[in-house]
Amino acid sequence: MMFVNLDNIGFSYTEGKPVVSGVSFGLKKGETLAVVGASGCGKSTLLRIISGILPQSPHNYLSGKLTVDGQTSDKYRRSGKLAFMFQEPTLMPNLTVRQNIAFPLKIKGMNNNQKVDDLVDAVGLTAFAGYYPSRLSGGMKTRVSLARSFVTDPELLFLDEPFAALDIAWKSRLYRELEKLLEVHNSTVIFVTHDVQEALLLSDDVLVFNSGGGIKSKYKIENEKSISERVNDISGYMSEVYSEYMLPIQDAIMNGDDV
Amino acid sequence: MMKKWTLYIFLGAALLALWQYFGSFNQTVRLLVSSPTLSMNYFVENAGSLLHAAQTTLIEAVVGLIIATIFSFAVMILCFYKPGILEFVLPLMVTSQVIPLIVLAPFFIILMGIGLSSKITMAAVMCFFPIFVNFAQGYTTISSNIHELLYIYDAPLSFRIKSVYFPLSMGSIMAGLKISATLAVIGAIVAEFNGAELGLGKNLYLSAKRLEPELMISSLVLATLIGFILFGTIRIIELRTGRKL
Repeated sequence: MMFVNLDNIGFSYTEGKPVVSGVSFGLKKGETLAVVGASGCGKSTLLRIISGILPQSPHNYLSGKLTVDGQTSDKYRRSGKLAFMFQEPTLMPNLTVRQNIAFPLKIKGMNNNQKVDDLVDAVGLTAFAGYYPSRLSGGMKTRVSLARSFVTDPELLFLDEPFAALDIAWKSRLYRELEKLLEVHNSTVIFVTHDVQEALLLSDDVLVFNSGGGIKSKYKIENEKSISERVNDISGYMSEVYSEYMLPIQDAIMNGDDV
Repeated sequence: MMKKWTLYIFLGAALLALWQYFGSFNQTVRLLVSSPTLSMNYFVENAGSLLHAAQTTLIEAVVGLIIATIFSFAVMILCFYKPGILEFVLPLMVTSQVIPLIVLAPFFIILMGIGLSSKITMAAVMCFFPIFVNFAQGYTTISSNIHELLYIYDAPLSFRIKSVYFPLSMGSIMAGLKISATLAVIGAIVAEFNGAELGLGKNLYLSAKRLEPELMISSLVLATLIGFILFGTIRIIELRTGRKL
């Protein structure tokens, strides 16, 4: 049984102008799916639909069938088993690193100092635990956001281009940190990215969106290497997947208007 | 930094010296703005009544400011529970800022009499709009990602208000309070102009009627001092609450 199942999902803010249309796919527990495509093709909207953020408004139009763990996305969201990492770190400016990581627990009225300390340590910010976001670099803020995403032990994690603003050195470091956290939490991940290399480094499957908000093509990455193995030998890994995945995916994105 | 302060002191001293010179040797200037020494002598001789008047104005301004703060917070909390109200009310509130509310002073005097309540009401009305509008604008600038984050974790509204909306709007709230600190004093004084038993506004009104520039200068200095005290208090609160932001 699929953990996340989408059957002919369509979504529009205005009737007759779909942002996402006819999207169907399934995802098993523990899998990582990357969604790539040109800007404005509906990738982030898809994340917001699956996570239950959309449709919040009665003016939105959602069609098709979507289940997460056999429930509606909204019911699943209320169960507290999902987390969302935004493109911007989205930290509370009045809270310290530690308090920001513990923020989801605070919302739920819970307290787990050990888990928060472990996460602070996992993203290498123990020395900065008492710092406010205004004193952190962009990379550090992203690490706080990453750690916060795992504090509730999410079954399902959404990443909306969280590493887009970082340089390759920070990205490599965060990919390894993400892998460590995923090993511990065994979360299912759906992430959106513009970066095909990132998609190939982090995911098991890659979904290419066309400009009409539908699926152009889907690729199953047949490679046994772990994320850190891929990142540590990035040039070797990229040459392995270059002709089979990299070129076809880039080609599909560039010809994404072929709906 | 030191040089800047030296310049301020020098400019202040030069102005006082010029004022003293013209106030002593020019009768017209003396009649209009008196002189520093005459004003100081007047203040010393009438310190008791002047400070009593200042105390009255201070109480009116402070109570008005507190009432306006509580009321604007209450309306904003109501808007958090019923977001439709904010969408309806905010444009009206922003537009209402062009109305010179000071014109309501005679109305409050007629309605409530010449006691403290009419002055407090005037001060509160003057303060309410800047605090509310700034708070509302602070709230509307909270990033949509923060709202989505709270939605993802199904944060209860009471938590959102206490732990997110208030702290993240604090900068705007403080900006509104700082504007209102001055407006509270203006509101109280203008209401006193229109009829009061005691207060700096009444003193200013009498100074013009009786041609007593020393009374005007003393009242003006005290009113400025009250403005400084209110503004300074809010600035201290702002520094304490916003130190970590």
